[in-house]
Amino acid sequence: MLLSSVFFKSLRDRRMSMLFWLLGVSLLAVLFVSIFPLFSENDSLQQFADTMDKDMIAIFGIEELDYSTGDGFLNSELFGFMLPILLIVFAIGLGSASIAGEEDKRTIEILISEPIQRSRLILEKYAFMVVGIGMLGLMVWISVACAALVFSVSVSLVNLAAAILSCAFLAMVFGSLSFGVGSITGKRGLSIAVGSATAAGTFVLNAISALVDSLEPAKWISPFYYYSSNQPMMNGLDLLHVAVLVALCSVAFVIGYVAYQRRDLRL
Amino acid sequence: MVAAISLDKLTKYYGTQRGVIDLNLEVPAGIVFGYLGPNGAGKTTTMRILLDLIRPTTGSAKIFGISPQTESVDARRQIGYLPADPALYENLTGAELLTFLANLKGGVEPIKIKLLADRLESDLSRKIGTLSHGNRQKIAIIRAFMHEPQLLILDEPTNGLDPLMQQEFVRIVKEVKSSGRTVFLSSHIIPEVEEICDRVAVIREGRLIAIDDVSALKARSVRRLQARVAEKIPLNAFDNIEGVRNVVISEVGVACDVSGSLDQFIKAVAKFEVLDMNIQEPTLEDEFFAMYEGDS
Repeated sequence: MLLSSVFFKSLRDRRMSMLFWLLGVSLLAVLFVSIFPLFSENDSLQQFADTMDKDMIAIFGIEELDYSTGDGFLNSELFGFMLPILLIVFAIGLGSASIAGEEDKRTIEILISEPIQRSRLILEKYAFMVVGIGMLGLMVWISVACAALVFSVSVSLVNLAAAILSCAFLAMVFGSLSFGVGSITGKRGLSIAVGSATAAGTFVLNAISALVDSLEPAKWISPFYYYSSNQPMMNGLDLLHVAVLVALCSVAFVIGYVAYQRRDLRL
Repeated sequence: MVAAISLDKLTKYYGTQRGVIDLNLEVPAGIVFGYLGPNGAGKTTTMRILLDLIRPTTGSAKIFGISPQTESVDARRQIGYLPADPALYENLTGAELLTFLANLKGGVEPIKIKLLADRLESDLSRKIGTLSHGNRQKIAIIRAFMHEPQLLILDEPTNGLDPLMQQEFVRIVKEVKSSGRTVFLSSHIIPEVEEICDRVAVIREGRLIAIDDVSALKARSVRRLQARVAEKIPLNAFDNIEGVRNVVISEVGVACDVSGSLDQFIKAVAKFEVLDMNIQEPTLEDEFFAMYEGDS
């Protein structure tokens, strides 16, 4: 069963790493929910949060630190930095391993000399990346929901889903970029570098655009803006912003897809 | 009958670097065809184009009349491919790898995999990452043969195999031929080529420089002859005989190299009283050395 197709073999190859990632994000989610009561019951922490420089927290795409509600706490703590970074790292790892990974290890030669179309191969690899990110997202949702029950924290499960979905699409933008660069060049190192550098660069760009008025329009080219500006954990899904993220994923994938059909494989 | 492989003005450049130039080649179905040449001559390039791993710059290639470039899946369905120095998934066992690849082909009867594994003494239960070069090669060979394809494309197939396994491999290739299927292989081992190939092409610096039947090449190839003669031979006795070179005449007889037919030389030496004669087996080795090195 797990050796029946490229998709399922990818799953099989990554079953241990997938397990640890699922465990990791789950623990992270439970941890953040479990420490919330400490923050909400302690006024001095909120007072401390209120003293924090607005510009400082704007770097993380957060308007204000709100430790009084579960939603507000998760918004600033879980979705402010930790979860996006983790998902982006995961997505870039998977995106670069997909097509470029087979060429780096030279296994593409036996794989593609089977009667399987390149288009089919690239679609199955991409589908696996999407499913992998989706599994992590689902795990976060389940973990937060369960932990909220256990620790009696009030969390909007709909907004939680909206925030996770936005975060997953943000990660998928950089994953798709790595995937696309790997599909165009067949070079894994390069695809990791481009994905990571773009993630870091656009993160900084989004942060600076919130601080420096003259650079404010620069936010439009940062995927982080479309993830965080609407604060989906507080305000629900912003369909337009999600659509922009989906469009960015699609562009990266389609360019990679077309290039992969045409080029010589790296052997 | 449609040719198993046909190349029409096939040319491949990697950027400005030469791959192959203007190859015209027909490999008829049902034979074992040897594709020979020094390293970097373009053998692997040709094979990779046939598998659509890389794309020709100009010209075309066909597998049983099917273009690997436009109908890649249909073309590859006909092929069992053994890459040179194959990279396999090291985290899988041999059995798992073959199951996975068989599934991509649309299924292979497990008994066929087992029979080949037994013949090649391949342990399929071990992780490929732990196997030696030769044992990985065996798995790659099983993979190329297991679905009984109409055309086998084998890039230096016996690389890494011990002599016993080389013999078994030769038997397997002969069985494929007797079942009417086609084998296209590259090799550096001339005796092996001599034993299993019906026809060979020689490629040098990206260009085909010779295509011929092995028997014709053999007939053309150079043999060392020595004749012990009871009488003294005049020094000019073998002048002007076609195909005779490096003549050494001594008190006891004559030694020389003869290419092609021996008839003229035998008739010339028969004028004397011949006590003994020694003719070396014709070998392609010298012939190929000459062609590889390109004494043009």
